[in-house]
Amino acid sequence: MSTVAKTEKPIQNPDSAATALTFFKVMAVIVGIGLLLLTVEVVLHFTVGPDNALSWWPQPHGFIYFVYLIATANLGFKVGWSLPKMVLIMLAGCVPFLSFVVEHYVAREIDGRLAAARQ
Amino acid sequence: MVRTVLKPRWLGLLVVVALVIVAFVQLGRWQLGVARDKAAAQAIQEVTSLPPVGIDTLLGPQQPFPGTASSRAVLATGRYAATGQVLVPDRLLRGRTGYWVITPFVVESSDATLAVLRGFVTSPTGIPAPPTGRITLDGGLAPGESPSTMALPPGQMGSVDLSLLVNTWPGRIYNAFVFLQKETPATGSDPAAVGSLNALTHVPTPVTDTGLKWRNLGYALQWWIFAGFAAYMWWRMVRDDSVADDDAAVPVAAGAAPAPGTPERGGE
Repeated sequence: MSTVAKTEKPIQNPDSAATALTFFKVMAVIVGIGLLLLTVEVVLHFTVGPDNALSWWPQPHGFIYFVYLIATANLGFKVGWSLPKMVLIMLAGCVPFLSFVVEHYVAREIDGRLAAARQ
Repeated sequence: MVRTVLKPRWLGLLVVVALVIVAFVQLGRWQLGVARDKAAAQAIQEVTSLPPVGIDTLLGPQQPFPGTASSRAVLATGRYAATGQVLVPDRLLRGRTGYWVITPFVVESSDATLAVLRGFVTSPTGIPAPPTGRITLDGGLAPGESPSTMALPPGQMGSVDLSLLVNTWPGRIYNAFVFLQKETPATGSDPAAVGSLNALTHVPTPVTDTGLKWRNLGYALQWWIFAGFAAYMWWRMVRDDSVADDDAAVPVAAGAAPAPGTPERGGE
């Protein structure tokens, strides 16, 4: 990820980007947990049936995922990510466990760039 | 801003975004259809799973129509009145235009009149007479229709307007009419003496106002929100590029170049 940071412009407003990073980290963890619940629901859907104990979950998860999209775009625009990178990070929120990994790398990248911007 | 929009890469991205929006809007409409169909199927399933009950357990004569009684299967025992049958024109059944035959039926238990939609005919003449004996009918309950202002010959009315029927039919009437599904001889009456049963084409009981399945409505909304978000992303990228172009257009030689890391435009 450090190689990516070199190609991107310095962060213009570190305080605003730091807030955006916190928002993104919180949403990435929530979406990651929500997605695991959704995976369980899908398994239940095909084993127990459509009226399982978690059948209410997909709908609120869709709205939570939308907040994750907002958090990703909010951070992406503030730190100057390219569109493909933003889209990939958004899609990572649809793959079980991947959002935790992505959250880790994004936090490392942005923390490093924030430290550089504040020097 | 306009010059930025006209750059090939933003125009190209606009095409992609437009396709994404069209796809998402269609997916939302599909889910809206699912929401409607599921609610309708559920309502039909709920209504048809209820066993028929005597009409007097749902409503009595001259009582307001309870909303929960809509489309419920009811039973009523009594006799058709000899006079007072009316036709309602301009009705459709399986693609054919015709008349609804509304016949007064005197319910034995209450001695009040119930409007019965006996069936559908394509011609206003030669309608088979109702059974004359004591029968039990089975049909779906419905509230009366709104009044109609259509000018019609005697013996016809523009809608199943119970407020008109209450003035033409003697005695008390029910604030409801029945979509007849089956006529049977009442227990104790001679099947041979009741007259011809089920002589007309029956009209299926409609299930009205079934609403939407909220879960699929939520999915539909989500697709439309995602479509809006795609549009926002495009606009935001173009705007940032436009601002960058404006910054690049400021001559650097003026000595006003900002120090690296200085917030130029404030917080977003």
